Amino acid sequence: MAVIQVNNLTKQFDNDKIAVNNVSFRVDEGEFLVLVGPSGCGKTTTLRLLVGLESVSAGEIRFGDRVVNEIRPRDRNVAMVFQDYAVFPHMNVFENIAYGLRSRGGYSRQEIRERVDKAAKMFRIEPLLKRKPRQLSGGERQRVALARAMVRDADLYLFDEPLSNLDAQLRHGAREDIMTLHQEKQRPAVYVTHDQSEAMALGDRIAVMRDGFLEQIGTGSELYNQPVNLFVAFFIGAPSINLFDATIEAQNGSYYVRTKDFRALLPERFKAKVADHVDGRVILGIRPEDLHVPRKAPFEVTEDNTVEGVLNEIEPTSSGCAAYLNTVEGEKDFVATFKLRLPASYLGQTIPLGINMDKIHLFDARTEKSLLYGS
Amino acid sequence: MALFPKVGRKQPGVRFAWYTVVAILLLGIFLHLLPFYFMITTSFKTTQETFAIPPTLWPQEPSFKAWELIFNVTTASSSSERIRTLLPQPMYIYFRNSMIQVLGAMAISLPVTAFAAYANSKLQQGRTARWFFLFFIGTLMLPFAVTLIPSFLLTRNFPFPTPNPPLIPGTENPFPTIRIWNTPWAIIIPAGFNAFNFLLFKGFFDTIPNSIIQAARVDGGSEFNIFRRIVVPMSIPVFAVAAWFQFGALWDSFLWPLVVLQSTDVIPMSVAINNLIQAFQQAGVTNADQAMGASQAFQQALDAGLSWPGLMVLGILQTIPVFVMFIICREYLLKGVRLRGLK
Amino acid sequence: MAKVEVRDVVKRYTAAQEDASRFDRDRPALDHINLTIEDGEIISIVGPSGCGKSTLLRIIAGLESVTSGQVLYNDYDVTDVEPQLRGVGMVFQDYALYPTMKGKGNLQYYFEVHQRTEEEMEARTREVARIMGVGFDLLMGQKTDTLSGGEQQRVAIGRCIVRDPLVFLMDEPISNLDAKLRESTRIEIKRMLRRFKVTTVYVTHDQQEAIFMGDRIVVMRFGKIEQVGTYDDLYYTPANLFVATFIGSPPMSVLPVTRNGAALVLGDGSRFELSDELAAVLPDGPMRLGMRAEGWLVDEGVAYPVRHIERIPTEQAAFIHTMVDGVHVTALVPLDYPQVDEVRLAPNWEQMYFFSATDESPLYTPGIPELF
Repeated sequence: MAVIQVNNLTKQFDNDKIAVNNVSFRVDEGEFLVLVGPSGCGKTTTLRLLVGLESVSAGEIRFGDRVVNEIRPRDRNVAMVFQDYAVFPHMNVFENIAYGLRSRGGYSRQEIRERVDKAAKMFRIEPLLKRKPRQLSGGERQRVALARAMVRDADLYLFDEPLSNLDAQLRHGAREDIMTLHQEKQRPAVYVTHDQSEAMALGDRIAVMRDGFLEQIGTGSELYNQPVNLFVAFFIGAPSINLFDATIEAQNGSYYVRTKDFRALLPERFKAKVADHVDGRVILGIRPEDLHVPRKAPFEVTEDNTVEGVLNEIEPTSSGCAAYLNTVEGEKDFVATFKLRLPASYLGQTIPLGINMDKIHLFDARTEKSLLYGS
Repeated sequence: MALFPKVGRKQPGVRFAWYTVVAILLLGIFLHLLPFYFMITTSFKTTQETFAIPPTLWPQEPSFKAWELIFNVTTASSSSERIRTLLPQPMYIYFRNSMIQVLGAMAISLPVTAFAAYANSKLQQGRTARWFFLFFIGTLMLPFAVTLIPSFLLTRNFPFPTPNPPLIPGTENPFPTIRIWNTPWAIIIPAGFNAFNFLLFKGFFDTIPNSIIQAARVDGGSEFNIFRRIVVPMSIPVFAVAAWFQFGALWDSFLWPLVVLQSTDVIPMSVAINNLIQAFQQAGVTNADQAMGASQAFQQALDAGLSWPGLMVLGILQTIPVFVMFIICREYLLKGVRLRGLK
Repeated sequence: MAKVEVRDVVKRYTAAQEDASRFDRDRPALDHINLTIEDGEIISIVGPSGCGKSTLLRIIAGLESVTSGQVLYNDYDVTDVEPQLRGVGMVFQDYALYPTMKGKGNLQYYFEVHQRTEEEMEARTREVARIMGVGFDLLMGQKTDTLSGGEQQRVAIGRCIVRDPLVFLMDEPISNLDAKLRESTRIEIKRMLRRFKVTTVYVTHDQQEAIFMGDRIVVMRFGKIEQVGTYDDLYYTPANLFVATFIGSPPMSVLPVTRNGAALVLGDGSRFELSDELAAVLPDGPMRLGMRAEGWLVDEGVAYPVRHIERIPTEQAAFIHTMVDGVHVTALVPLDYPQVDEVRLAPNWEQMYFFSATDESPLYTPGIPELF
């Protein structure tokens, strides 16, 4: 089974809501594709269309060269891990895991036993095989759901936000379990989440969705460094990209980006791309890690690439800290991340930060499309 | 949400199964509606036609005689003495009786049952709640016939279910009792708590997240205020269902009113109609052969529709209030509150 | 404005009260909790599911009764005072808005029940709308069951602050929001809390959120408080193994090691020479080594196979996921570290945590690092 192909997939519900709007993508053998987006963007509906729990309004879904729009879920040979795990409460763990094998038939008792034991061992739930779900913790139930997907030899593995109901602390371990499952099976996998850090950590490729549309699809670094529009730039990356309303000014042959609070010199190589936006409104995007403490910046910090902010909060992170500031004039909130720990004595003070102008993003104020990247 | 999931219907085996299921369901609907259809068409037939074999699907000679007769009978403005004896009071009196008893019972039963269910669902906890719940639901297991006699005795010597009230210990005097037999209270008091509605309410109240009640407590509301201002507005669909079920059950109830009500100023419509049928039978107008052989007066009565068509009219009259109640409740049923999935 | 004190509180659920399947019958939901929250302080309570943090919050609110112990507001015993009279404001995890009322009705219920005047009610509602920012008025006019999660959450916070309470109690208020929305909402909440300076108790299961919100953090497990302190206290001097592995993202890896004279031996045989400082402090024999991602020196030491490399551009860092002696280990490297199959790691002596092999007690913790 080579590839999963989705062409112009559309789903419209009875109340005229178009949940999935002309979405196309492919998933290659062994690829882990993540569908990510805010609630209501259509990612779960897309997944359900792939399973066969919803009917297709327009477009087609192909598994290999077989069009599966009208095929029942059980005949599509897919395995799914649900958000609330969907473990059957009246069966014990062994029976839960074996359910798919038993209902499909064609597996001997010996075979079922072996497969279930192997899956249970992989997810460290072997001692729990005789227990009922209500005696298990949330994390254990989640692993039962993974084991249940593991025993099958499906053509496509689907995950519907399986980590959202877990405590934050358990998510790291569970992510590893999911990676283990995928590496064992080496089949196409589609994973849905609203958490972009999960998407970045797990996905070979990531598809960002909003309001039923597929905004951009690519590897994590493609989405991060070359977002095609404002939404993708804002959605990918945590803390989110800082956005400022701005205009492009031309002066003495150079272009400047001017916001309410500061003015910065636009690097030469961007000039051609913004030429038709001079004196027009744009949105300037600066990622938190592209703001530097002047003394430690890897470039020269002048008045042409500085923003001043009042320091409100310092949040320690594993590699340094995140500083929450707001601009003096416009009182606009923005965030900067550093690899060092800012001492708490700076709280409340106004500090200057250098902007790495080579890494900025510019978007058309009306269409929200990126001026620098994408078509 | 369809019976069969939408995806997969075009697959051969599934398609056949789908069509079969649809066919069976259509047949079921048809059979279900058939009696109503028959009832309505018969009410417009002449007596002769009702006895026709094979029965006709559509009145060949439509006649409004049965309707006229019943309304005359019901308003007691008919001239015929014979007809008057059949039904001592105008029909609207019986209608009034039914309404008073049913609405009165509902007015007490809905609040009482709802309070009990709310307390059991939200205010009691753990084992206590479970035992009370089982106790109340357990009463549903007792067949009505078993409790009929004790209940009857209760209405004669409320609150003692014995033929004669016991004596006050140490004296020769019996306990004072209230006699509710042959009054509307005999209908209203036993209906005061409805175990089935209790199940309905409790099931719904259980789905109300405790956090909403807790938030209201933090806001300062007393338990009754919380119930009145927050829980009840959320539960309107359930109240509608409970009211609808109870109205239907009480309006059509026959055996109990027959046992405890006698005088014509308290008999409800269901009993009154039964009395009318009895009278018809005694007057011999329900049997085709007898009817054909009877006297002139009878023939007139028959022509006037005093027979099965008349009964059909009464049947329709008995059904209409329940149907109206359904329409009213349906409005409130759809005013449901969405306790949204958290997204 | 209130100082909140919890004195020796024990909470046990009896079989008659509650379905005991949620808790072990032998273990109380809260086991001798002692906590003092200063006036105006924001305290985060964090812990895994079932640790008792929500129970503790509800006891402070008065929604649950204590089995023994006391709750005091400003040294006044409120243990037996019902929640209606405690003057607290609470935000619930599922927002708990009244679905049949509009946003405004939700805020005004409090005033109706306390029979306040119409003017006061209107004035306070306007004030709250101003504080909550743009768009709040729109939410006021809509039935709450038509609002999205984020909007409902704002109304819930509005309801909490409209009555000017003594204490804010927040029970995982943003857990049900999308990750992106959580980010922006917690900044708003923190700013609002700073501005009001009201004593706040914030419960969450997410330790990053707890660190961001709280002036101090309380870590709970199985009904007991494991440690109370600032982030630095918990991170650099954890009271036990549980706190050490709970606080810090990615979580600390725990490796069984043995001290053999002057060297530390891992399960897979690798040996590392102990520094003098550690050699003086550690006992001989088996113990457990706790390593945080930043505690590894990369490109020196023993080679381990790389499972995958997780790159996080905003932190300008990448995490190498590998297995050391069967234990999952993460090591922090710069973002542009090459994609390799094998990496050499050695522990950085200044950032190692040692715990007893048999129980959770710490043998050595690094303490706050000296940067200058």
